[in-house]
Amino acid sequence: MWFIQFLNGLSYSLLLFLVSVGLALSMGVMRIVNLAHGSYFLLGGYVGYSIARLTGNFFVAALGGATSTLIFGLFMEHYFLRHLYAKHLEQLLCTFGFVYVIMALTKFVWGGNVLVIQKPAILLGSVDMFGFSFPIYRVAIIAVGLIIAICLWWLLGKTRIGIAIRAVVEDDKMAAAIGINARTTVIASFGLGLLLAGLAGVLGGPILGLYPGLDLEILMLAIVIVVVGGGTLEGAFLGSLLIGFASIFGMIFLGERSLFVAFGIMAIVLLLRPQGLLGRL
Amino acid sequence: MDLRIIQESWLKILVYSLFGGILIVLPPFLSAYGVSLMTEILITGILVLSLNILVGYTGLTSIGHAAFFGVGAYVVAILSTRFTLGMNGLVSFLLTFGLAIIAALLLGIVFGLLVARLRDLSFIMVTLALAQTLWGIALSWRSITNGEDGLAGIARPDLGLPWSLGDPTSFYYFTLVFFLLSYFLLRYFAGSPFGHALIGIRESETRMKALGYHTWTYKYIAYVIAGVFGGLAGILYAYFNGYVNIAAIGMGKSFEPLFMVILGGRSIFSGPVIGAAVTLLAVRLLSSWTEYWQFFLGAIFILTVMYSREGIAHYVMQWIRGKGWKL
Amino acid sequence: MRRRVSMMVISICLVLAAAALPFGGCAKPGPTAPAEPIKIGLMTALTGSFSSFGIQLKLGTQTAFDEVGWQVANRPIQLIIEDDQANPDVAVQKVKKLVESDRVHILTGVCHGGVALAIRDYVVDQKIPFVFSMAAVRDLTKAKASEYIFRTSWTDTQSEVPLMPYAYEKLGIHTIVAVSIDYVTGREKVAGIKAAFEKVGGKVLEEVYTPFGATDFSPYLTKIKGMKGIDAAWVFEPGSAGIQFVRQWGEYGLGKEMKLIGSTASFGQSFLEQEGDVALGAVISDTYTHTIDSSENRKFVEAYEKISGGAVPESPSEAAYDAGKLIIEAIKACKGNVEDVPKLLEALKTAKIKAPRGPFRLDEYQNVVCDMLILKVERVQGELVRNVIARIPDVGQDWMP
Repeated sequence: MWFIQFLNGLSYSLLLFLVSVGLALSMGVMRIVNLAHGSYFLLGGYVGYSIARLTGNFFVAALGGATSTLIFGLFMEHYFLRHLYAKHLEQLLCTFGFVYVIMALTKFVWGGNVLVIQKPAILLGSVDMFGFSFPIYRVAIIAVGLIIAICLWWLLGKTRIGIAIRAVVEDDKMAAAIGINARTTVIASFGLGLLLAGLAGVLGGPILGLYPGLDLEILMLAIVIVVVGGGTLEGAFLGSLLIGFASIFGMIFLGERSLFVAFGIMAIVLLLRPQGLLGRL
Repeated sequence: MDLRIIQESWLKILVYSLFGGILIVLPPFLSAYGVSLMTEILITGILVLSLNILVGYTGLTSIGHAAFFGVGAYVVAILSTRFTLGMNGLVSFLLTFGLAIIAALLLGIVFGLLVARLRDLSFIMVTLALAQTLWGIALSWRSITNGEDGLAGIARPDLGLPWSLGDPTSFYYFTLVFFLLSYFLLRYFAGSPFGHALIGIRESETRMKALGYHTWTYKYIAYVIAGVFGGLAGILYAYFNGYVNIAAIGMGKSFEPLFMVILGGRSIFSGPVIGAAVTLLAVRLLSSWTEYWQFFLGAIFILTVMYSREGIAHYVMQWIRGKGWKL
Repeated sequence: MRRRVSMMVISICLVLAAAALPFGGCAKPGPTAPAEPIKIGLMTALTGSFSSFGIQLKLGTQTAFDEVGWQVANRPIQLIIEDDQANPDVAVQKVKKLVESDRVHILTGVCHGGVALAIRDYVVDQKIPFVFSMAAVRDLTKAKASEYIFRTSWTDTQSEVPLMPYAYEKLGIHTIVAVSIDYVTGREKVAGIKAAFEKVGGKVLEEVYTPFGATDFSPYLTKIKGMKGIDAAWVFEPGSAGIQFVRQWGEYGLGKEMKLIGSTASFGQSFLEQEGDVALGAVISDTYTHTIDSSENRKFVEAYEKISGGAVPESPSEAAYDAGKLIIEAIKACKGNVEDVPKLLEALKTAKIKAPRGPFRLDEYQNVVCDMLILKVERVQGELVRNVIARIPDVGQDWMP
């Protein structure tokens, strides 16, 4: 049973990672807390749901969900956030305004009921391990999560745009001084984060469901992860694992108090190491 | 003495008396519902004024102010419902009130240590993180806070007065006293040299340091004071609402006051209160009119921060100053 | 440009604020004339996680008033609907608006137990009759009962307990694990079914409580899978949780070893399609299903489907419909004089209605007494429906085997 619980934790953690890495990117590069990040997760999921119902194809839906999130998010950035550069308070409230707007829009289009995305046919069913069943779909999530993590690591470590993003996160003035185009970097990293969030929304659809309120729940978890891990990408990975496993095992041992575990960890980290475990906030 | 200066001080006194007077004589002209709405505006007014000490004066964007409001509200709620304290006479009320204020004070003292040295993004994130931690505790610690279901049945305090605070009008006056007290205390604080130092820190902390100010202390004290008054708002809210749940300590309670501060104007002392009044009325109206009220509220948030960053009060003041008066 | 836009934004805000001032309007003058509408306030969750139930309450109530053409005893009926978002905090505000600003004569609705408790004191203080049509928290019609409070739906335990003796005797289920969402209603239910089950000889081997809002049950299901010697799981996971729980139940292979029984909250008609074959064979208890074979019910289902655009009524809809009918009968008995509150209360208490679910009456705490249905999820003509397999007569809020 414990191996299965480990897998439960892993699949949950990697899903969280996909969401929180986007938040970490937007915070590191744009220096804003994009409160609408959870809303984009949900929006991507909803769009994916509709596409899946229309085409019957999960993978097209995943792509569609991610792309729609990208479009919406870039729209928000270009027409609104861009004009509020360095005004933290205004940016925060602007993104929070979008939270409300997206909340109302999604409720209008998709209603208040819980919607569940159907899994792709080839990922149905369960694998039998040690007398326990584990859904194949979750195995796929683990695989996808790890692949994306590796891709990100390669992208940010080895490609030009990736290194540019890293440079801006580390020290934006220096980066500008050596000629890194801030605008392109911002768009690239923000866009990447959005794609991942939307994708996560669709991938999580069959497991978590889609409903009003999920946006804020995911946002809170992502914030906790980013705070715990520090604003960096490695931090997001480590934070996701920590919070993901803690939540799952919290549920097993503490039952109803599991949410508290995530916040408790955050509180402890803040007390001992306010810049996050691996971070420089 | 310059006639104009005398005229301007008189004008100031006149304006204050006018608003104060309106607040005092308002109740008979309103229905019970209107009076409770006004009470809610006053309570929120205290909350936004306290927040503006941090945001408007010191330039510190705190998005975790709900922590103080929530603590004040919960302490009153827990003592009233779990320990039946606070309803049996003046002493019992003072005890509950005192404990709640102390709780908010302690919270400010402890949290302040963590956040006063941070700036910009870190300050923002950590204030939110701290508030959310308390939220998580409130949610999970069912035996004390009753979690999601909240604590109901908080009775109004019995102060031994000839009028029961259960009556909306009496409670309105009760709240008004605290509001006026908070307003003038904070006003005095803001206008004092300490307050001016805070403005200096907002403008440029490095410059203040260069001038020899120990900026950390100033920020810390500002945080604690803001916290105490935030807690006061929470206390009044618990008695007003009769019911407290995690919404009192949630993200909404941190963000909506921020919005009210921006909408009303953070550079004018009274600005936030105007923002609070307008926002509360607007939300009431919108949510009764359409079930998609959040769309409009969100749109107003966005438009306001994009185009009306200075706030209503600012434009009103500009108009007044344009007429030649200096208020 | 900027200046103009900002002036526009500010003007909008000020206009909104000014328009809202009538809410603070002056005290109402004089008594109402006979042709004045009877105002009924409906508090329900139109948004948020309970909205699927909330909308049912709305439609059910509307069906009842539709039937009488929105007019009783020569007075028009005005239904004022407020969204409490299943959030007690919001509900407290909204109920004040309904009572003080809209001046409703009667209140009805409420999905969420916490909301009901939060507004109860205020409603009783203000002396407004409230016919609750869903909130099942027991105290409402026991410890906190009042002459102003009526309930047409069910209590936490009333709808669950009758399943236990049936499960023990007819289904051969002797040991169960109780799984419930963690809030006041969930805990009351588990306590109730445990007492009943143990009374007939069964044993509740474990109790698992899931956090409010959780939709990923993987750790719990894995844990349950590891438990030995359990015949069935009794489940109470409403709303968003319910669908996910049942689906994941299938994914984690639990259907092979354990039966699924439980509360209708997880097996509502509208959930079955999303849950799929995993739900097949589940046995649940409920006050109502749209497949009840009676002319009264068929008429109701038809009328409801017209308003809902095809959705079939479920127990919340039916309870709301009953609440509406109760109110209508009471108004008739008062000859429309709802301003005479004591008369109105008396009329509500003694009104008789024909409910689609079957027999219907109120006990001395003004809570409903009716038959409880034992339902099984079956596939009929390609569709998953809940069919009545047994009927437990005359179940009140304190019913025990």
